[in-house]
Amino acid sequence: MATAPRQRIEAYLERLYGYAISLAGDREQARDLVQDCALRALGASRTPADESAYRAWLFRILRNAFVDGLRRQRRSIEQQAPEEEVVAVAEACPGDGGLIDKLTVRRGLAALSPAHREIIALIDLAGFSYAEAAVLLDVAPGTVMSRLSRARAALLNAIEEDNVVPLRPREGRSAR
Amino acid sequence: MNGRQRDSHPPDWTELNAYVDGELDGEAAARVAAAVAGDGRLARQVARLARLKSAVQASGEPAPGPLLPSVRPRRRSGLAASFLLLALLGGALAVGLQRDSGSTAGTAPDALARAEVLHADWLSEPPRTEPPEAGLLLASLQRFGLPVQIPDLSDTRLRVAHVALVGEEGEVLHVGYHGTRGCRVSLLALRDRELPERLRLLPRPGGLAYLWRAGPVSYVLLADGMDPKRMEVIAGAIEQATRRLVPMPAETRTALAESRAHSQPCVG
Repeated sequence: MATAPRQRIEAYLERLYGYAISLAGDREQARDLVQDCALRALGASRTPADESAYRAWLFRILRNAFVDGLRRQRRSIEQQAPEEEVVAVAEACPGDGGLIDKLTVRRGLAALSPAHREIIALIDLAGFSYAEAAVLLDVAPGTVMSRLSRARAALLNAIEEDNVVPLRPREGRSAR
Repeated sequence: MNGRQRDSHPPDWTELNAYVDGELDGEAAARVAAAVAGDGRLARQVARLARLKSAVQASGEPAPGPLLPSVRPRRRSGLAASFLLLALLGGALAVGLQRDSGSTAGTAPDALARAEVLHADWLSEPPRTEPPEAGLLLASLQRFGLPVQIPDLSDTRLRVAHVALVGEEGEVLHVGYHGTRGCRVSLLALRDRELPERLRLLPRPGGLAYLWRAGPVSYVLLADGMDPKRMEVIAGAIEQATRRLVPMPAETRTALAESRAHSQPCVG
């Protein structure tokens, strides 16, 4: 017996929300995106029967909804990730320092560009393969590979910076 | 990735990432594994990447509210016909009767689902040319109990032809507009604070839907086969009117008129 449409989509809501957060960087907007996505999916006359195709279809709907919103603001996801900055981060191979836990990761992700957050969310949160992510993003698999490695380097750097606690200025000195 | 290409080089950062993700083919993965086993720095990087991946997977945050709320049973008064009311006699009508809104009509899926049913029911009725009675309209608005705007759309040749208060608690006000070229537009006001405030466009079978919220009232606008540009202008005009609760400014009325002049009749 086929799964009911609502039950079927419910299995992906958390991952869709994580992906939406990575795109929007805002919880309320992310919730709106998931709701838009769910409405469009539930209103579709046909849905992919294959489960992996269905998952990719859902994420594509959500991404399209986000991109449509950006277009209305005359922006794009890629526009927010200058390539020079990305290369500079990738060349600086991240070191070993810095506590990695979900809190430092959340703060680190928030400091990344949307394009970097997106690729990390697709691979690590949503569980897409490089090939699946490449289809979703309409890029070559090699682009996914390089973009992801740069994004993780940037994330590690952000986490390390987050772990650096600035020294307190000495007291007793007058600042003139 | 083909491992032979990199046989003479230690794995780079990109390759280590692919290794952690299980994206390398068997030969390449074996070569990276051997390199990692013999190089403490590479081993630390792989361990760090694995920790990072695991922490990202655990970093998901709870949503600020339901992402897909359950659809409540649709309740209809069955007395829609008794609430047919008079068209608005020029100008927008705003009613400021306040009362607490204890009940909600649900979030976007709920609101749209209810709107679809009411819209379809209305479309199945024969078109009416005479406007509903003004007295009954005022009674419905009073029973609805929240400030709500039913804009005058006569500039775009749409006139109120149907008004119904629906639901056991009268929580949905349905206003139907008739055009002169086959267009039938439904505007629904719902006692519902859960819809996002911003105007949202959603495609639906047969046409488009716009959803938004103004204060304690959520609105859904539906039409079948209407020119999307015309509907966008209408939705924007109504949204602004529902936020201001005052008659539409002259430029908006002009835009409404022009949207009709430049559009095709409704189809479908």
